[in-house]
Amino acid sequence: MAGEFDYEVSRKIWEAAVPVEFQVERDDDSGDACRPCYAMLPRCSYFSLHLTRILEQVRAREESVKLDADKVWLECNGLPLKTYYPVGVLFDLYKPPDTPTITVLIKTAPRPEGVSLVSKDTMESIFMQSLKEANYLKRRKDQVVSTMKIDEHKQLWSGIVHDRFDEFWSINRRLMECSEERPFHDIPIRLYITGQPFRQVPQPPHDENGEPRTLSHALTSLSSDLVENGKYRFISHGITLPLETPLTYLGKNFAYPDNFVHICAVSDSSA
Amino acid sequence: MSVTEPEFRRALADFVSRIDQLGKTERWTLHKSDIGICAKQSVMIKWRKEAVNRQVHVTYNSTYGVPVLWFNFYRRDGTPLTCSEIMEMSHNEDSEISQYISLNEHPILGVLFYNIHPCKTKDILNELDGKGNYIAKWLSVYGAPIGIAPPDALFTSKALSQRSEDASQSSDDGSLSTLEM
Repeated sequence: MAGEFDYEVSRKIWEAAVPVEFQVERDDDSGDACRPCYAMLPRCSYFSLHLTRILEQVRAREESVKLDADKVWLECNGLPLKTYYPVGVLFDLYKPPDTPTITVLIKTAPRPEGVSLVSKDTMESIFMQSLKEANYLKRRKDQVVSTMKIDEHKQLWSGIVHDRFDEFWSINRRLMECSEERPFHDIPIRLYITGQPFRQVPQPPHDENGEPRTLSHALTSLSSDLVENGKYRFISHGITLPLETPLTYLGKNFAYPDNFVHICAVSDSSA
Repeated sequence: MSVTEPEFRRALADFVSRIDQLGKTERWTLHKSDIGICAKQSVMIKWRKEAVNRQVHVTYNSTYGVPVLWFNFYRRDGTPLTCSEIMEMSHNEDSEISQYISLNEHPILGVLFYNIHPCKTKDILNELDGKGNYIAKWLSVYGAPIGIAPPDALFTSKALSQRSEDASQSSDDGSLSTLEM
């Protein structure tokens, strides 16, 4: 059971959506606050795929607001939002314990240095780089992604853009194949802490004795102090993961569409 | 060929040190942090009759066991070149690895930078022969799309004796050339 693929889990993960409150931060000092705009965004998706629709929603209610998708940027908790992270990762990182939503400011002031516009094309490139890297980790020499046809790459991305589980998984199923005879070489895992770049090191599914490695082993290999003082909870897809979860299970069932297991370390004192 | 992280660190430190010894060439600086080691270079170059700042970083990628080139170009007013400008610049070099250029999160800075995805690096480096510093060999291929060429002296073991020859290097061809500051 530790290594089994669970269709129900994958389906629920795909279908999960999170409530996001959008507010426009006006650069004039009129004092009039725009009414917030709410959207349920798929956890497995990306903000840049929804921004145009969000801005249309805001403009429909506040005709005096000029919003250009090429010029706005997003902020959350006082930090520029890394819109190239999956929606679910950003939500898990930023959701306050006492409210069901995260609040994203739509900023019209000039973008700070280092904050890049993430267009749909850029988002697709970033996604494909991550997907290639995840599958290199899993297969090493046997590169499934490299032998894919271009239209299969397009189908993976199209499945995400249009929120089509079957379209996506008809290709992704092949990327998730592993067995006792042909196990994953490494489990693709990225760890996120607010205000830092994500961390990633190769994570073999078994230790040198052939025993399954768990989340606890993976976290300790990333940073020795992450686990020991109980300071953090480790959340993926909104779920606090037990530290004894086998890595193979995570790799098969908790990966986001880019095939990485994205895990957020959230301070436990705020729970 | 892939390298372990300690091998990468030694090769990178050697690369930076030998460049420094050569003098009269664009310097690199070494930066160490908890997250990893990184070599950086920041120079003004000319592109389309305009002076732009080219920032380049070299980091280690543990998945592929190879270096990764990260870069951005900024105008004098600090605005970055656009994606299409980057693609136009890099495709002028007629290098097949230009197709692997994409934005992604810089592993040390945590902001978006362009990189050349390292998925082909191991295969390409296996085809390179010749002696010399590993980073310099890698950079002779991966730096080409954005106009970076390591000094020839790094490919021989007589770095110091080459100094006077390099001082009289011929001027660059093409659209990317170093500005005298």
